[in-house]
Amino acid sequence: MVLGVKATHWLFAYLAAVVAVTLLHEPWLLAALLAVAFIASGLSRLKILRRAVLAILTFNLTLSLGYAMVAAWQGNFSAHYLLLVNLRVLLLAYLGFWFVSRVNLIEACRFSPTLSFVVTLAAGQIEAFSRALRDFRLAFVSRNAAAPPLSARARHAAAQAGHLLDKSVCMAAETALAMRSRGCFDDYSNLPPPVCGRGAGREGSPVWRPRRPDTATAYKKP
Amino acid sequence: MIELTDIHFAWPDAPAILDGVSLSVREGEKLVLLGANGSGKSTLLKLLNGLVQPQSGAYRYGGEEVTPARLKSGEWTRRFRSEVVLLFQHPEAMLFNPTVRDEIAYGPRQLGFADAEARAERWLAALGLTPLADKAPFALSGGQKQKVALAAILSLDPRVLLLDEPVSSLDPRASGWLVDFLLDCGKTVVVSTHNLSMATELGERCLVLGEGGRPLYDGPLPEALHDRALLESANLVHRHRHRHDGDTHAYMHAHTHAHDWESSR
Repeated sequence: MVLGVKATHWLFAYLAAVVAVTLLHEPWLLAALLAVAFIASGLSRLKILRRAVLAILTFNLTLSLGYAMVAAWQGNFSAHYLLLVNLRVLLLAYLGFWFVSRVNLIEACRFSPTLSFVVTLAAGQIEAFSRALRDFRLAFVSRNAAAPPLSARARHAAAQAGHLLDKSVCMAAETALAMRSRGCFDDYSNLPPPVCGRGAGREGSPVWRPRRPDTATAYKKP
Repeated sequence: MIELTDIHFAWPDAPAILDGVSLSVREGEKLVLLGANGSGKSTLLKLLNGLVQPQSGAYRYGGEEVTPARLKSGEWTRRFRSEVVLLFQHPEAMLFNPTVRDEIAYGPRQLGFADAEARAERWLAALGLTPLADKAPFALSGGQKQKVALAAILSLDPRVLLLDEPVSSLDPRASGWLVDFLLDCGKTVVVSTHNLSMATELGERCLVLGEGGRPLYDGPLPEALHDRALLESANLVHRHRHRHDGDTHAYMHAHTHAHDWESSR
């Protein structure tokens, strides 16, 4: 939490800033906002800027070059537009990285159990995949004394992609089973509170409900 | 309490993983499922938890058959879910709530128990997890995740604990705690392992599954551990070289007790 403001408030401030940035159409204004955000983000500003630039570099470069070529061919090239688009994307990326570096997203989404649940699942997956990717990279480094040929890199990338895909499918299936095991997909809404000799039940709905009662179907292993 | 009769199960487009398993577990009994990797231990536990259904055979819990129709919903399912719980082999599969406290309270909340929060606090304290209560479960170490997953199922105050390789990611101290807990808890326990050194600590009776999920033995655990032919056919013994002051020899053997070094002192 930053400056004693609740994480949820920061989330809404961030969302408002994103909307505001998309409504601005002057490059100098976007540049000024970027400068303000850069100064306000404290000691980690250079790290955040580096991450933001790296995150958008390939995509923006490809898009900008494509636009420049097509626009030049059609005779309506606009440097103003090119600058506007790139500054906007950079500012949005900067704000995003600044936000996640300062605010706990799970804490910020606490106001909604469903949102909180989805963010936690996503964060858990990201964590597991980050570890898997790191292990893959380190294993590749440890087995290559010299720079590996392009074919080996391609094979490694393909194996890595295949493994991650398999892992994600297996994890999703196993998590669904674990959720069902604790009553997640069963609908008890029309039942009285439980009386299993462990105290009376409570009023209210559980954390998670299936959208349709008939989603409680037999599990099939992929 | 639990009765399986001639259970056959196979995943779609795959060979049988459980082939003619029959089993009866009395209330309060501690049963160890022994088998090599791929012998169907995890599948059998999922079946006992009502998560997968056999292609043939019958599963009865408390004298009532567990069928897809009965598991659809209703009071029976809620009772079953709170009485029969499963600790998954990989605890990550069970952890999907924002904080450790929410994770432990999830089951009781979901099943509608009024004292869900009190149960969470009790099990946080019992497993020494109180300092981690507000942390995100996925950010914990492997052993801590296992403890959170265990607390998450224990908070339902179940009658039957199904544990899939519960000590695989625990350090020796946590494993010791779990063994003591299982001995003292008075609950019915079905626990799977391929670790023979832990098996004797986890229960008094065992079901040995061979390749393809064929049951090879059902009886007292010590007798199984002394039956070399049985252990070989279940792939539970191995062969490697031993070195003794320059002399090297190899033979089929199992490491059946982790505390052997104590008696040699």
